[in-house]
Amino acid sequence: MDSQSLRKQVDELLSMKKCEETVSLLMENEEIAKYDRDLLKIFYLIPVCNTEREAGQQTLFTKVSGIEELLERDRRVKFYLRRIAFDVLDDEEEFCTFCRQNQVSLTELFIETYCNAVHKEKVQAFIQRKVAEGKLKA
Amino acid sequence: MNEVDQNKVCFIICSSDRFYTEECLYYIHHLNIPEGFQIEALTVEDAKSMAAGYNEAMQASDAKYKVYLHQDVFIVNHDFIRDIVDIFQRDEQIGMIGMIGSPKLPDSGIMWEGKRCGAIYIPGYLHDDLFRPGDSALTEVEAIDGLLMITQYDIPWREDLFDKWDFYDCSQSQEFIRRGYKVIVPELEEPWCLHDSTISNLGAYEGERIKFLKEYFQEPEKQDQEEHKITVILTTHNRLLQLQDTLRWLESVEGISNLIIVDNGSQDGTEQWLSTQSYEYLWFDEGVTGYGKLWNTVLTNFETQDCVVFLEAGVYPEKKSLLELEKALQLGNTGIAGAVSNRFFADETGKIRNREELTLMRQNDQRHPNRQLYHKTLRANWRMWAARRDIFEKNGLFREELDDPGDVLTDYSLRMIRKQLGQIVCLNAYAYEDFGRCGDVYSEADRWHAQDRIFMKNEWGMNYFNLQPNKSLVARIQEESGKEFAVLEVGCDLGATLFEIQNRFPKCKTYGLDINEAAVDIAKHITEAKYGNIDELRIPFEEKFDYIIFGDVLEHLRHPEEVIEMCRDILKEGGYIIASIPNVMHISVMTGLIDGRFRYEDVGLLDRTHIHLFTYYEIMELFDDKGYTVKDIDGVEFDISDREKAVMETLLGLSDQTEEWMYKTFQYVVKAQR
Repeated sequence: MDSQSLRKQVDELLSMKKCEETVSLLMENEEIAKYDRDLLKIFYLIPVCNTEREAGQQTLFTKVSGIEELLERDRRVKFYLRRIAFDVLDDEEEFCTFCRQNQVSLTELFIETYCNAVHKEKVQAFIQRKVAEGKLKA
Repeated sequence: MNEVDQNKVCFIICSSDRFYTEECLYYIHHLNIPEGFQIEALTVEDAKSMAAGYNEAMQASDAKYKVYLHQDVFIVNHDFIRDIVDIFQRDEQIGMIGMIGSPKLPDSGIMWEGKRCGAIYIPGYLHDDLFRPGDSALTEVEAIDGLLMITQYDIPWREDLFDKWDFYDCSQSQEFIRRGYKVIVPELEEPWCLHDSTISNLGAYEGERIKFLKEYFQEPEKQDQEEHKITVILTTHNRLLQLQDTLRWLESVEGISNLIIVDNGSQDGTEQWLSTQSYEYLWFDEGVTGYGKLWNTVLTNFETQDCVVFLEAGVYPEKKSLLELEKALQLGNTGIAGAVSNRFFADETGKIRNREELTLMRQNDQRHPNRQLYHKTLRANWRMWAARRDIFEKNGLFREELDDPGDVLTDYSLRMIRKQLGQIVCLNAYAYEDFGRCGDVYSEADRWHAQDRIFMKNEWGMNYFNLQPNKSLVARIQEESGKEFAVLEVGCDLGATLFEIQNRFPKCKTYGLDINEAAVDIAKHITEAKYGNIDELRIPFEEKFDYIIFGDVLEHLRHPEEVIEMCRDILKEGGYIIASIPNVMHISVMTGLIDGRFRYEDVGLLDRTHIHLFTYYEIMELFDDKGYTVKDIDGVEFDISDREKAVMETLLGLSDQTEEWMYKTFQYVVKAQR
């Protein structure tokens, strides 16, 4: 299989909200996924799904309808967390609204923070403050 | 592009992803902007290559400071602008700042294969990466990573070479270094930016890497196999010991394809020694021969390679110097490349110093930084220089009427200038010159000079050939090297000083005026030069100037006061006159007067063509009376004799208006502002 075929299959599985199959497919084809910029990003989101599933939550891969949407969502989450880390988040409410509308779980936020954000403690404290304020869903 | 805006920063982003570009801009718009500064951001889309895109944006902005960054780089230091301007303003030689850099590029040219310095956030899915700072506050590097490159001078990106997306960054670093600028990475406690790095497309990387190495470095693995095409013509005369030293030394000098020894009529056993060796050599057995004929004989009787190096016994080139000269000859229309040398005197045993000692001497020589750098010149040092072989077809052979090697090369160089063939000094081609033993070793030297002088006068219409710039004048131009400004030199002669100004200030427009039509005929090939007599109080240029230079000219004028007054009209507001003026009160002149002598000479303080004589007070009054402010006046002093010292002591006792330096100063250099 080449990366184009893998990409197509992943896209189809995501559109069908089939999380476990998507995870399995990516794990089986790790070597191919690692050399595709987009698939690599999705590959590294597998821990989010696994943790959500173990916690009995809806998994990330079932909240989107395809690769493009998943990558766009991931990029926005990442950008928000970095803005928090570097004190340039102009509109905190916009961030909270985005999380609520897109069902971004705390699991997803914390894993993204752990993996992608600089000044992790500051970002985690911000998220916890927003949870305490009722702006983010626990 | 119009005038550079000194208080403006332009952020230039090569963009292929709208979202990343917007996020990159988001951070830029959150930066603190120092008072008086403004910023702009340009995004370049659909560029043919990174270099092409950056060139397009560079030309579109008048900002002095430009920040070239990838769309996935987010600047997180809120005081980024203040910090970069501070670094640039502290040292105008810093041309470019990077966040990550290689103090020494690996032979492969691949930055990440060697030690890097700098700091940056690279948050990955698995790790945060932070390079460790360098060894000093500002680490000089050979290349910086293209993720963020900050410049204070506009130097074209090499889109002619790098037409893809790799090595434009290493190339640009080398372009700055070639021009004598420093490329640095600051030591940071906290990184200034975050790089959201992803998988790189390295499809074209290898091709670009090879181009880079070819342009800027010899690829090491090929170096040993590559056949260099350098012929060395080594001339000697009654210097067997020095010849042997030089030959031993040359064994470790790289790139020599063949060596031809020319024994110019030695009588010290050189020929007998050479006959026992395996060197290819030519002995002028009929006695000493002039260099015009000598060099021509070698060129027409021996097979030479593409690069011909002319070397004297007693000169010791550094290991890679000849390769540097060979490389320099590949630049554009360069026909001759000269070396730089550090003169030394052999010890009392006649032996040269050891290599380590000489190398240390070179390292301590701050005149010539160890970097690839070329300066235009009117003539190379005749003791070690290189010519492209095809130059002898374009410019002909040497004139056999000339004997002294300096004169032969001067004539040849002037002919080159007339044909627009380039001559450069390669500052990385370094040699040690045993000056005590390779200077004027020929007993025929005086006769040669006298005969050559007649020939040169007839040929070129000049008695003297002023090939060296007046560096004390140039040193008083205190501008940033990338600044655009205009300089007029009155009495420019062949243009040597203006040439040096062009070397130091590449964007400076230079103009020359001289009363000698023959000199102007040469100078006009290197600057805008015109014939004219400043004493007629007319200038044949429309421009106004930032600087007007008089190098030993004012004393030759009938109306120096009127000329200085007239200069006010052609100087820009705040512009400067820089002048060197001989001091008639020098103790050698005073001592002569006490002895009843005031003997005019061909050159020097009592040059017979001097019409006006100046002392310190006259110089100050000259400028003061015409409304200038003297900003700086300094003197050049030479050693004086014991008798002169005694006379000076006596004279000092006769007046409270004079001080010791007024007698010791041979020449004043004054800088006066309009």
